[in-house]
Amino acid sequence: MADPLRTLRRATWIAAALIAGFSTRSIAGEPTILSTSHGDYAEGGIETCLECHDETEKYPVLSILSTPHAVLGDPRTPLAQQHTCETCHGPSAAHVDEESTPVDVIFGKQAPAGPQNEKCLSCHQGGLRMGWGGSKHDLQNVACASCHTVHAREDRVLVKNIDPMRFNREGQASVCFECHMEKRAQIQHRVSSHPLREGKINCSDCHNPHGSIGPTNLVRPTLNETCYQCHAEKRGPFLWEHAPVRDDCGICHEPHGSNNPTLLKRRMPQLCEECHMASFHPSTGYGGPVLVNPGGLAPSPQLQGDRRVVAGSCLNCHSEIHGSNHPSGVRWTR
Amino acid sequence: MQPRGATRTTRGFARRLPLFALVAGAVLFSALVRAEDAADTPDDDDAEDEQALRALTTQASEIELGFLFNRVDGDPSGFAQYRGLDDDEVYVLGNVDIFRRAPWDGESTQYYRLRGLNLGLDSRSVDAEYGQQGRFGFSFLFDELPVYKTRTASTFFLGVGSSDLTLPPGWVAGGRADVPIPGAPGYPTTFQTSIDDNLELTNIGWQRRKLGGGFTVVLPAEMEFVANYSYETKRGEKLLGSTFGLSGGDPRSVILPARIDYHTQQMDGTLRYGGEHLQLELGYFGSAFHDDENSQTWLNPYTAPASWDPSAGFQGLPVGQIADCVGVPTCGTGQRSQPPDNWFNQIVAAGGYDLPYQTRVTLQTAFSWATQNERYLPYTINPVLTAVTQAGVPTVGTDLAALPRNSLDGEIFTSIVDFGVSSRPLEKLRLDSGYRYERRDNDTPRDLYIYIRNDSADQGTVEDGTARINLPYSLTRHLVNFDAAYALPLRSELGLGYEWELTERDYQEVHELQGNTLSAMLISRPTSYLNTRINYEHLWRDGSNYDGSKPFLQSHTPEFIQEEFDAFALPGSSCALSGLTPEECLFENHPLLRKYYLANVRRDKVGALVTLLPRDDLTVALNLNWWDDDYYDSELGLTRAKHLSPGVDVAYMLNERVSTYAYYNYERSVSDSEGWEYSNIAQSLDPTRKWSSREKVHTHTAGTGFNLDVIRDRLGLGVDYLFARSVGAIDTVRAPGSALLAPAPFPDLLSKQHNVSVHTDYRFTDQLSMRVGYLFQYLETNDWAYDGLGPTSLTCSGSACVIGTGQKSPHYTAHVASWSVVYTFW
Repeated sequence: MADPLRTLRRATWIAAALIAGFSTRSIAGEPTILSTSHGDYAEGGIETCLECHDETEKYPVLSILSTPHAVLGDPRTPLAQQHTCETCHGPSAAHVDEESTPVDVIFGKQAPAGPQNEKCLSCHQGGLRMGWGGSKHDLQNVACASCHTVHAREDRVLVKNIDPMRFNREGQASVCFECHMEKRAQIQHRVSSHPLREGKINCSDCHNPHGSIGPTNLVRPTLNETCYQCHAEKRGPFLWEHAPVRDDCGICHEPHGSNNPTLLKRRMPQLCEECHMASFHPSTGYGGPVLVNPGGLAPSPQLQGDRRVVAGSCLNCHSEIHGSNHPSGVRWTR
Repeated sequence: MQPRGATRTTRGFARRLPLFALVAGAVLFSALVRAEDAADTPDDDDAEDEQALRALTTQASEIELGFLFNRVDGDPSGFAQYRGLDDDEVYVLGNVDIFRRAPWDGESTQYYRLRGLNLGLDSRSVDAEYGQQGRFGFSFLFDELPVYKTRTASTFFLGVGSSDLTLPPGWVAGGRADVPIPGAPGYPTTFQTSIDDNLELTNIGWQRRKLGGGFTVVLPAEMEFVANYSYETKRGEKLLGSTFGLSGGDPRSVILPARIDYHTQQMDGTLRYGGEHLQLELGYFGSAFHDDENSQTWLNPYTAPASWDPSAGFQGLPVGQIADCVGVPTCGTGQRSQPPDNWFNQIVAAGGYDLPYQTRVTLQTAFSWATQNERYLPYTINPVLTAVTQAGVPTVGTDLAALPRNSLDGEIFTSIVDFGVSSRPLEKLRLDSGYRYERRDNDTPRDLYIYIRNDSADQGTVEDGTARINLPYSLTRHLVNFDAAYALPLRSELGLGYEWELTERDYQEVHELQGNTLSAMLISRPTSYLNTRINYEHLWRDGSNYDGSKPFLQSHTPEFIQEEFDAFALPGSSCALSGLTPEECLFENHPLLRKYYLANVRRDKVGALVTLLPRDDLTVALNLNWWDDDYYDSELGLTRAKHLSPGVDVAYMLNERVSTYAYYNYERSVSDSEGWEYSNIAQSLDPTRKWSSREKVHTHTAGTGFNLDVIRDRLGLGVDYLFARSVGAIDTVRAPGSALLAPAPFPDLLSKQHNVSVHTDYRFTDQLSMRVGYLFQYLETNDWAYDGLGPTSLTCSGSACVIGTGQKSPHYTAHVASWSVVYTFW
């Protein structure tokens, strides 16, 4: 394994590089914050806002009063605080005076992400949002309100149990698919898929879109640990491990959907032969199955190898491919 | 034939009584809620207005009760799995969502919610929450997930659903010599007849059931504690290839329904501190997996070829039994291990702190240990086969004293540290950086196991290839990233990034693998109606010396390696005659192979998303994903993989009453592999034995639909149509001049589906409505792996054979009609 001293040297180098990378801050002078928060708060709180804003709005506002953001008994919520709506929308007296003047902080896809995210994170920075800073979505300037609709009676991205009788449903996945369109095609249209289109799991069962300790925003620290949440029988450790299985389930599987059995990236035996080319059958250049003997009664030489191609292909014998704990299972047949 | 199998569930009115009881309970509960609310409602002239306001500011509750009629032509498994609609019959449609939250302007913060979905199906789920926001909350969950794999598989084994599969009385075994092809003299043989006469359809699949709960407590000093627990069972059958034989030349395999009976418990607890500038959390996650049985056994339906020990073949009773097996019930029996029980514990600690200058640092860590120590099975279940104890004393193969230890004592420790800094030092400048350290120490002890090949032969010796040492793979990974983004005119931002990754692995062909990724990103919102994001990445990954023999040498004994070396050193050996040194001949995989996940690669990747909003009521999104992996250093194995996927998505709101959408996505994937077919050293050097394989997959997916308010606030109609067509082609060709027979072409793999859903909602009153729905799905797949194959039509070569299940690729037409009444209340 890794030499500890070497690891320490590397860590020192990395720390030095990080510090150097951020030393630009010291010469940047007094920073200008991105937030536009300035001006005065309006008087009257929510009642002032509701004089104009009601359910006829494009984004009805009253519904927020049925959500966790509006619970006066919970002093943590915005509407329980002094400035009610302006707790999030910022001091907006100028907007009250003149309708054409926008509120201090506008939420939504079309508005700059920085100020609005800053507002959300001022309360929601911990927990699942701990890793937001520097996450993929943060780097791509995704606004919280691009996915969340806090004014809605039910935030669409938090709706998980969706009607399996409809193909196009307004649940969490439909929000993710607005940008991840290829994933929609994979999840909804592949023969082998996780039960997302049937409403039994959700994107957030595997991913934390706010950033995480895991790769690709996974909810667990590694891909395999994420998979083991539902496939604990594959965790092992096994006596006879299969190296890529221990490393990364994604080496063989495409979790968002595949037309190959069991979410495999490629067909077997082609998939297996990407890494296995020992003498005899693992190195054979397999052709398709010959189900009807073209030569009449005599077995055709082309029939050879069929048993390694059809049905489970390599798994017709090596079926314990995720690892075996049998003392004679070194070739994953036991 | 009637299907059999443990996953087939019996249905009837009696079975649904709990459902009716649940729905009736929900109705009663809602009535009580209504009564409680009525008591609270002031009886004055403004009551109606207050009710309207209440409806706007209160979460609605809903109870839906009705029927589903399901009809599927063809194997319903593909449609029914995850949904629970596995039979042509009428199902109860039951959904409940009762949600109460105290009025927003009151002092109470109480809320509760009871949700039940698909209550009449095997995919039902129920979850409940109760709490006081800002103080505490409790949750409960019950969830079922049916997984139906196929109804077209057949088996002749008895005891499906148990851990011991036996053969029918009067079984006539056979082997290669007994399997002539259709039309040949002697077809069918008594072996084939025995198979055919005893086949029964078997439902393959399983059912998951999960029960769980949790709570949240808000503590003083901005702290919070969250805990959850779940217990899940997974029961049913899966198809597993199960083989006897000594090598790739003489295996005789059968695909059988193996039992699944898994139990998994998971628990977590997290203490969080959420200050204004500092957030901390300390958590624990634990998982315990248990399998009720530690093995699956099956009787060998084949006779033994000459290469096996005779006791490994089918033993007729009483006729046909070899003398050594008289009185030995486990002759001719195979045994495989079930997934062993395992435990996993993880401590997670994380923190984030806000520094001046809009800078935030985060540190997330996870330390875990996974253990597995299930008692070993013996090398073989067949006591006629012989072995040697660790003390060197000859013994029977079933003697656990032949094993180096009684259990694995497997342990894997994993440490992950993720440090990140994100900063906005200037108004226009964003900087992000991070370092991730991952270390997996597989501390499982290494031992020598002289295995018995598939319950088919006596134990070998330390000098032969069956003497193997286990390889507990460990890994260390460093990942460093720097990203900077600078704001440009036209509301644009240009981002540049660099990522460096170093991975070190034990016991694998490449010890060090170093990857470098440069990335660029342009985000632009030049106008209010145009959003653009374009990403580009270039990765170059290079490893230390690729040592293809490393796993081979480290998993075999020095004695075996020396014997091989000596044999290759002989002047007349194939190695010497090929002009190679003995060292060059000691390999398992062809020396030119590069396993793709360890190979050097250059990757270019482009992603683009353009969103146009030319009008308030129209959204057009264009999407593109493209990547090209060039394994430039790989002569054999995967050499190139390319992927292209453009898509377009349109949403249009014609007016307040009509909204529509459409999308289309095209996907093309191409994988190129190179191979070298060989059986000896000389052939491994003959370039005419090379082959190339290209797999191309084209997939078109499209969807469209609309929602129409036919009668304003009264009758709604929604229609969705989705289509997908995928064609996969695999073409394998020989090298020029090859004397080998050209491989038969693979037929195209086809997958085609049409989906239609129609749903209407008619509101009699604000509280009462009726829903009528229709769901249609057509799926057609052509898959050469299954189509046209019966259980006995898998071909044999030499002594090798496989008996399949006759499973067919999915092909069905499904119709589901639904009718329900919905009661809504606040």
